[in-house]
Amino acid sequence: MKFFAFHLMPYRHLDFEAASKYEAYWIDFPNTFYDTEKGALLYREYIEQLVDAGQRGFDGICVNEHHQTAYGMMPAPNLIASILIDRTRDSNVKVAILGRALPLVNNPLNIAEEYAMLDNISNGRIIAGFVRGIGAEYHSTGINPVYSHERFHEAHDLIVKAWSEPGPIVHHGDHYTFNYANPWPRPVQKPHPPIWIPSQGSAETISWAAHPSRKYPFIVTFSPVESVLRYQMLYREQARKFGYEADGAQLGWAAPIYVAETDEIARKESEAHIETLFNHFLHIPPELLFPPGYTSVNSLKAIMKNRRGTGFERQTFDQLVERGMFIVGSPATVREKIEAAHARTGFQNLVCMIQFGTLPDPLVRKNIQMLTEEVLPKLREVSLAA
Amino acid sequence: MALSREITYRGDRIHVEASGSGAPIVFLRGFDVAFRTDAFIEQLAAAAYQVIVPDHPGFGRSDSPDWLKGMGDAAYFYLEMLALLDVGPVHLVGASLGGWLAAEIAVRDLANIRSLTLIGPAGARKRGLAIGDPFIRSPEQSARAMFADASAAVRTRVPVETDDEIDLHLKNSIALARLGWQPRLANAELQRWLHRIRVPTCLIWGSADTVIPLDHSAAWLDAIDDARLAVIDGAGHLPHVEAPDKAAAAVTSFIAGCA
Repeated sequence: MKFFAFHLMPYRHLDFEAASKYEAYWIDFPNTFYDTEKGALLYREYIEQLVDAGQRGFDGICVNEHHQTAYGMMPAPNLIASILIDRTRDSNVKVAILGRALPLVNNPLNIAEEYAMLDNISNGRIIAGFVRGIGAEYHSTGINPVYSHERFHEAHDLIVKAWSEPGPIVHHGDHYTFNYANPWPRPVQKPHPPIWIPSQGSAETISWAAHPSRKYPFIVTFSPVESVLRYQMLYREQARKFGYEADGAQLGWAAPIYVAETDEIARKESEAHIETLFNHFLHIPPELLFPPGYTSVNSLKAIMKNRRGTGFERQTFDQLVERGMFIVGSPATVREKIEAAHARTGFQNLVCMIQFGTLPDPLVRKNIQMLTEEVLPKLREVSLAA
Repeated sequence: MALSREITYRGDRIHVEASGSGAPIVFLRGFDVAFRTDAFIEQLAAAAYQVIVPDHPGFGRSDSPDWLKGMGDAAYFYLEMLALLDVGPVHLVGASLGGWLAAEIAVRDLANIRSLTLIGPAGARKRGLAIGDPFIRSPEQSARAMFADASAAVRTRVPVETDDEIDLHLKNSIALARLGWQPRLANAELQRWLHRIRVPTCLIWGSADTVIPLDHSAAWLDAIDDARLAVIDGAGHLPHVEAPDKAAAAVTSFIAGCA
């Protein structure tokens, strides 16, 4: 199994009491809540945490993109990725951008260029995540959510073609048109950097990612463990329908993780912080999360009828643990949970959110240390044996 | 009594209802699709007009054609539709997003348009003046924001409870976003050509419209030569739903003078 340390870079100094009168910490949540002195220090703190994770033995370190929110301070994740690439320059640590939101830009070639630059600067150490951006970001950017899927697929096809084929190429699409798609530099990795698809899962996306022409690793994020495993099984079934057996490296699980000496200590140290992530940073009314056309009518109906889980209800520490949305406990407990899940689908990528909600630096550092010393080495042995 | 019919245009079925008899009015709807407009339509029919109310492509009982990507497509469709209806020049009435659509049709070709009535129209804006955001809210909040009188919002809202009602609501939501998300409730290109609307034009506006506030009417009044404004006191974004009698009277007294 491979282990990745993931960061949202939340604005963890938020005045939650003052902020609580707003519906969500997204879109039109006033940026006056952002204190630049505190924020500037947070960037430094968070970058050091990821560098630390890379140095201590994670296979990769990950950033991601969110806009106009206290939930994550990386509207331009490639800026952070370039720092991480340089700080890990003499290592094999991967830098994964999970991911850039393709439909939100009007020129996808900018993303092809940026990723190719990072691939050159890192000499082939990047993983290129492609996402659609969350629903709220269609409100922030003004991009029409009705065309989210179309723009994602067209931008993806264009970027991959521009990376793989000799330029210049011509692209005349429904959403983008270029007479001279000819991005410099070309990526170091051939035919292009590995493309990962982080997603909360939908049958359409899984089928698209699993297609033999792509075989993209599918990383299930922010979901109860049973959903994660169900989507991973669906990926495997889909691959079989396509006539091949999916490799475990095509499957991933992304979740917040916290390890301490004992289950009790782990709970005591993480409880308030994980609840802040799910109940504050992720509290967002459904119409902001699912603008019209962002999901298919059938998925939206299912979501609206269910009205459970993140965004819909307050979730306690116990519920999050019980649903397997938060992996927490002693090294033995955490290892067992991961092994039990791994035994069911054979996924080979575990994306560990090492900081979540308001978790402060000393506990993040402790989490990284305990994960890399007590959990990861033993799990590597297990997956080697399997 | 409304008569339903389906018009097939290039393989797509478009649902149309017609009531009353007399000079033809074509009524184009917008965010009011979530509310009942029967009272307004009945008033127009009672004033001896034939009132033709299509479900726009992508909306209601009509098909969702592949060619419908934005407001311009809808406008070209209606130029075809006005000819297909074969009722001669019509009094074109549009509300909210339907007002925007009516203006997009009119700047392209006036051959089948006798007069233009725009009720709280989107589509043009006074620079520097805010426009509300009907997309960011929950259906309940959105309903509330459309009206000055909260009880009218509750009274007139089309229920969204059964499976079919939910399907219809989602279909209309997607169609509204398809047409009005970007450019957001206003089209700068349309605004540059409003002077091409060379038919008698009436703007009907709720004085308490918070979605597209009354002051945006200046953008239309400045650009269209033969334009006048009728304000419905105390009404919100959908005066024809909230105050159907007053709104219908404003429409009929205007078009009666445009024969």
